[in-house]
Amino acid sequence: MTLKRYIDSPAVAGDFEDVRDKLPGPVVLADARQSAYDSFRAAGLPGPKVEEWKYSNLTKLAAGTFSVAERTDGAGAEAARFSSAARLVFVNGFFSAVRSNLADITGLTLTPLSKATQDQLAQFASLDDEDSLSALNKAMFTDGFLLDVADGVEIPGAIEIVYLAEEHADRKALRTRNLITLGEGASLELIESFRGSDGQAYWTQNISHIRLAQKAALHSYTLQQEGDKAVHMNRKTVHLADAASFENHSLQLGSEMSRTEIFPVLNGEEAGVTLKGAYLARNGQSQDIFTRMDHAKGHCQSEQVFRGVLDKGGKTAFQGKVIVEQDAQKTNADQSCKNLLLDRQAQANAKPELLIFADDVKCSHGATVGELDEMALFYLESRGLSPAEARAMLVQAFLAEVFEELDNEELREAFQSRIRDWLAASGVNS
Amino acid sequence: MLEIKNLHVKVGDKEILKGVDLNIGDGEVHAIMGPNGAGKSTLSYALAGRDGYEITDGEVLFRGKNLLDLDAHERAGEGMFLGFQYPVEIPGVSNMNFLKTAVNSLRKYRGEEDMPAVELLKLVREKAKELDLDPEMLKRPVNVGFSGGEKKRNEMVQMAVLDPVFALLDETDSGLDIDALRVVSEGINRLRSPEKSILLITHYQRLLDYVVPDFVHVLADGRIVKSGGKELALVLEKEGYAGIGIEDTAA
Repeated sequence: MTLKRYIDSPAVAGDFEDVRDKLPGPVVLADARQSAYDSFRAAGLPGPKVEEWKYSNLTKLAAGTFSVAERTDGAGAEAARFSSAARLVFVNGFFSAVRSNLADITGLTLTPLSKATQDQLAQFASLDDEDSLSALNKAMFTDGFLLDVADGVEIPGAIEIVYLAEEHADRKALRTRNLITLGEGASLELIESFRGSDGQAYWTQNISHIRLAQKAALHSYTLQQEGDKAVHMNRKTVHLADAASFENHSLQLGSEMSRTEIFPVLNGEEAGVTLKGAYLARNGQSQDIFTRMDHAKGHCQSEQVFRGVLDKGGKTAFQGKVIVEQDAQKTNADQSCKNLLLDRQAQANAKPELLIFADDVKCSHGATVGELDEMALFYLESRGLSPAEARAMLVQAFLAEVFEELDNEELREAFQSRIRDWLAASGVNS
Repeated sequence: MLEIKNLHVKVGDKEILKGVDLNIGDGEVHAIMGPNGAGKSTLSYALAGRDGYEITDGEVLFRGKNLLDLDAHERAGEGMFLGFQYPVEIPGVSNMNFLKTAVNSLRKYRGEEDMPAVELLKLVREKAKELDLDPEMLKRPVNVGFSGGEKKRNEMVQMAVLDPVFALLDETDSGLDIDALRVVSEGINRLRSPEKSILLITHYQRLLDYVVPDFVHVLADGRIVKSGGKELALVLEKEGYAGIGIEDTAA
């Protein structure tokens, strides 16, 4: 008997027929939605026999029903605020005009899909769907945004995107899809945060397609603190031209099940990617990171630094695949994943992979799972720190490598503050 | 200040200390010497409250309180400081942040308010200067990439900033060149006062040229086998442990 690689899950997208006429987009996108929906129905959800989904168990998701959320104006929603030049707020998967600030910045086009033209929306018809989940998102996304920075423009301040799941989000799928393009030499700082109410079993599915022209630079920050019953999926596909750079700093500590996917494609020479992230899990949570770094051209560099902290009942997985294609000579690719267990009833999985088809490259990867150093704890306690303070200090030190070099001080403090709160709730407080 | 009565300590299945008796009065400096494996580090860890050092018998009173009832951080809060033989490296924690947390943790234990940041910074810089520690090292992670001498200086800066009433220094002189030894000795001597006491655990007499003890004890096979004045260290230096009838198995 062969085991099924995909899980049949009609209920997950069961209301497509009911809602498709209400979904935004011109005919060309409607056709693409139908085709994507058919393709999802034919495949189903990926199961654990699909290598990339080995550690991310969707059985629970497959058993549930998630209907499209009702449109809301989000008037009651409270958005997180970081210093920002402009802010888009999505509530239950829909743009909230009252909570947003569509600032008029020269060289920046920032448009929520609910305000986009049919021509702009048509662009979404041709965006790749590389697996059934992406197809499902394409079939049923309700909103999202288009962000474009013109050639040579450096946007001052950060653009902030807030995704909120409010009350009435229970059993709803909140699907957004974004297209971000930076012109030649353009630069942008983008902050995305995901938040939701505890106790509601909603499913966030956000997909961003990012295209960086020559010498463009995008610094992206992601903060995931969804509600405790949520399923969170966030995928970024990033295409980089010559000398473009993409940096991503992420912290994920919310939701019941979370999967962050980052797929950079280094399509130009001397392009660079830095991915740094921390993920914290406990009490039945699973936090997964899946990266696929595709070095298609030579003289590029990539660096990945991920750190996991697990308390009792937490489960994490890091799967990091680095592909160095035949033309990608002089590639420099490093990957590091370290996990810290605060309790032995936690489970950390790490699966670094290297596929190298070029012969003049420098690649490294390392993965570890360990516990707090007993001698270091004693050292701190001998100086007067309580056991909880000592543990908190060591955990924060363990995560420091991910955030210590962040130029954005406000954001660095925001990340660290949320880590402190998490530790306090775990009894590892200061 | 400190009264140790018949202290027995086991590490794992092995009994290391087999009945240590020692009284240290206010303002006194005591030195404990002894061959490798005699139990010197075990004594320091047991007094400082490290996990895994099981007290099987005996009593320790620290300023009238039962020390053995207290956790490691509470012992620090009561005024004890352990200078480590091998100071631990802590990547990701800056020296300054560490000192700030430690100072305020001790103050919290004593029911005091946090020290104002400016005052703390001034204090730390002043102590670092006195002990010849490059101020840049205050910004670096605790002990990471420090030479042996720098680590020991750093221990002395911590001690000066935390200002304990009792310093327990475990082979603080090991691995030091002569200049570093002078600085470390100066750090110890600065702490000397009629209200404070010091227990130096050392393998060599040379530290005692700079920090002259009031009493010298020899620890061998888990017990104090001989006590005397500062001249006892000179006898050991000249004649070795064999001169007082003890075999130094590791020498």
